[in-house]
Amino acid sequence: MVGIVLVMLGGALGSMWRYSWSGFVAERLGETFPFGTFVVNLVGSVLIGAFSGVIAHLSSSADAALLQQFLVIGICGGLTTFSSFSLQTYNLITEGRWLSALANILFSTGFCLACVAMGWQVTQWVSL
Amino acid sequence: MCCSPEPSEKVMLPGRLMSHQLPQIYAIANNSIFLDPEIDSIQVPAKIGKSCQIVFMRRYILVAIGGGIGSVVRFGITEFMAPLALWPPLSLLVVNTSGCFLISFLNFVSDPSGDIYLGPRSRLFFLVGICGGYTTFSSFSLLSFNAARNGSLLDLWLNIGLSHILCLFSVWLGAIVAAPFPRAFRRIARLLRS
Repeated sequence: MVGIVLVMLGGALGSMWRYSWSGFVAERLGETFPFGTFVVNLVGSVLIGAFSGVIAHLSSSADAALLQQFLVIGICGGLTTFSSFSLQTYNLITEGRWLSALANILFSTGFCLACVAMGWQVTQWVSL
Repeated sequence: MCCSPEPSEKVMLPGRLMSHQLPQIYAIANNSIFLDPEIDSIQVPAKIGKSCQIVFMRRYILVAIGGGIGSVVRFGITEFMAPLALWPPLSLLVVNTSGCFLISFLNFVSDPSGDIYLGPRSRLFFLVGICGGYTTFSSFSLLSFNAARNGSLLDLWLNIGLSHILCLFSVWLGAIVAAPFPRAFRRIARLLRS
């Protein structure tokens, strides 16, 4: 029960941040490429790497479960989105912009993977 | 302090307004929303004769509630599939694929300009809120990272490849399934009016 509340709160926060930051980025960088979703997915990936690194080092498994639910499943899960990313890629494809669609997929996946590694690695260095 | 002398400063509603200002401000706010549901702030006269802007929190609350619901559903599905001990990325694959189908279907059934079956705020709630909170890119990246770290390259490439291919296919499927609905709705509406 507590887990559900934590996930709901984290998801609400993450989604609000996703809406405001992606809108902010889209206003400045334009709507020609889904920069907003890209930025928000990057930040979420860094955070999930960092949070997972911290949670892996916790001794109490009860605390670990609560933090996992709020931070990882809630905040990072709400902050990032696969559905908007896929829809935007599909729209790029149907507009005929195959290169942009491919770039979206490759850069999103590649950079987000790198961000997870970065976030996780920082927690490993800090904990030493 | 709610109303500052700077006309460009944004203010949350409800804020610390003087009680006699409230009816006027809510009246102006309601009229503005009726005229244009997409606006997010209005200029209102303040007590001192200077104006302040009021930002409508409604849009953020809609996204927050939708995001909370979507995240809980995602949590429920992954928790349900965890004891089945199938391929670890499978639960997330199921969630992301169904979320992509849902967002595509709802997106193409409604239209922000032409035939509106979902208004702009409903789109915000369902697309940005629920579907956005339901699907996740961070967990997908984390699974890929763990697979790469464990050296299981098969898991890594299978996760990445299947996720993107299945999700794009779901988006396409959602668009196909949604296409006949507007015409069907119009036929039913015409039938009911006859």
